[in-house]
Amino acid sequence: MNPQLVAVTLESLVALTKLLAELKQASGMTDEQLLDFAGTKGAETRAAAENFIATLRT
Amino acid sequence: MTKHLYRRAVAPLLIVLCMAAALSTVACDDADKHRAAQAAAGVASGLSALEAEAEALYHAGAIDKQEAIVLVLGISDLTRVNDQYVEQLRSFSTLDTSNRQVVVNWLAEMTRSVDALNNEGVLRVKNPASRAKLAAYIAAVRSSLGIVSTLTGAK
Repeated sequence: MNPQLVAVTLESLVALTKLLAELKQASGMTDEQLLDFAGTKGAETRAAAENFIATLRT
Repeated sequence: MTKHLYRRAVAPLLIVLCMAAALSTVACDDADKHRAAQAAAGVASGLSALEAEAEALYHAGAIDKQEAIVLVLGISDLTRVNDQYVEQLRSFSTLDTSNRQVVVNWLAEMTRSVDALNNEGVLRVKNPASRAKLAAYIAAVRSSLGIVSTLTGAK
């Protein structure tokens, strides 16, 4: 199997596992904590997406 | 070929199944606003992970530039919709008949936008293994949307 593909697959598993851990953690949060979490994640995602798009367009 | 694809896709899909199980326990909460907030948090997490995955796949050469642009622009749009919903939820002390429409509208818009991202972005990715990985994250976001389906009467 292509080593690069193995590396990407392992990264995906790590990312999905992290996502699962975040969701489990979120199950014990208050409404306000959940909304703060969602807001922070959203801001991070938008910033990452904008940076990545800027990189792709240069 | 099919066997290899199955192996590459099966582990992420197993994790998504675990995620669905975790979310189903989350959905047992009685408070409607709490469920609405949990859905927003789950969607935000899923979109964040999907964005990171798209970047990783691009850097690994597993998706091309155009595929990456379509994916990330779609993710960015979905994140904006979710952020607006989060701000609206903050202003409600409870969810009742006077403000429940906000959740109904959010679910409808998110469902449409996730379908568009899937059809125009994920399903058009040429590399089958990359497509399978991205589809797993789409499934995670849809699972989070499912948390509020009982609040809106959606099946």
